[in-house]
Amino acid sequence: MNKEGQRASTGRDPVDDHELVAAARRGDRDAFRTLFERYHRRAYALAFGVLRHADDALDVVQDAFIKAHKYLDKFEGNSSFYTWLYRIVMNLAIDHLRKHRRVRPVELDEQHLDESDEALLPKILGGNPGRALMDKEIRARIDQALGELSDNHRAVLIMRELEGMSYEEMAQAMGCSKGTIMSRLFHARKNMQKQLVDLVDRVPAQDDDEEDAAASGSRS
Amino acid sequence: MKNHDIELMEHADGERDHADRLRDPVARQKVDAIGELGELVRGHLELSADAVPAARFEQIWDKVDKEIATKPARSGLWFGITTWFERYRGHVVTGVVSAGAVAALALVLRTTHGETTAKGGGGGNGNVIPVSYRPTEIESLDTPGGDSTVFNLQDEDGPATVIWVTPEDTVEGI
Repeated sequence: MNKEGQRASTGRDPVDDHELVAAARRGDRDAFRTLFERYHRRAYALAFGVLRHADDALDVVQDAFIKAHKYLDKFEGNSSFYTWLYRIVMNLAIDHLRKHRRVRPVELDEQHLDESDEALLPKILGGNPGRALMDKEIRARIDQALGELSDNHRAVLIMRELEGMSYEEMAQAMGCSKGTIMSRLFHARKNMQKQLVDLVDRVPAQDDDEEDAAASGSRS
Repeated sequence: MKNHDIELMEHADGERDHADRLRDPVARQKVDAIGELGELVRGHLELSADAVPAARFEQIWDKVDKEIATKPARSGLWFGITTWFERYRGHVVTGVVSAGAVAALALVLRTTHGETTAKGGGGGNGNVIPVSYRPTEIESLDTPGGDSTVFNLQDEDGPATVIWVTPEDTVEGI
């Protein structure tokens, strides 16, 4: 994915987000368009991860940018524009799930981590996620595995893996304790591993890649 | 595990340093597996986002642009007032209702003191002598979910007791 937002944050972009926000507040729609261009795919990835439905995710992206524009004055600039935007996206996505009655009941095991929990697995797809993602069936299985998670488990996993949020940030975003976040994340990962473990032998390990590269190098 | 695995997860997520656990090769593999799963999830979602045609996002922008053209970003004093009211509407309404209830209570208390005047003099000359009021004495007041303040006020009609209840603040997001 084109991570426009990261490019902006490195300072290589001629106009930073805060200047664009200030211009958009003054009614500069082109400035807001630039913000849209920077972040619409990241916002979509987040919404799609939660909703797992392309059209619904696009609706959420649309509503999120409209809402962000409407409340630009509430953006105080303490965090990055995208941090503010993804909270709006996440809230809208969760609201969307609730409105469409797709929120599943919370699992009983969600609140606690105890000795009866199964352990994490030491491997899943052979240490070569880049190659694994080229396999359509594996991607379908990842999608299916995400769909098997509860909404809360999936939301935490996506906030962590896609946005790199800390446990504390996720706890604030979801209005629960840090321990609950850890529990949800642990169970989400464990369940994902369980769903994907039978694919281990399907993807060549990293060493095979290196061997391939070495072989092709020796051939040339 | 199992607590060990939670520590490994904390380590993998950069929340806490449990590098001492990584002397165990299985623990190292588990940390690697957590990282690999993260890459799979992230990669899958990013590829899903990349698969959406640019034209589709262009349509989304057209709708956003149309919307913001008709409803510009809100700003100014009135926006500030309305935003404050939207955020604290519940508190304002509760405060108004509380004040109304207290005002009614104060009226009732004053009425139940009976006469506000008494005929004095004993000589039958009909002089009207005002009866002195005493402010209501409140020894304790329990207001769950808020703070209360008791005011004893004095005006031309005499003293009045006002109980002001302020609900606890809550933070509301967008």
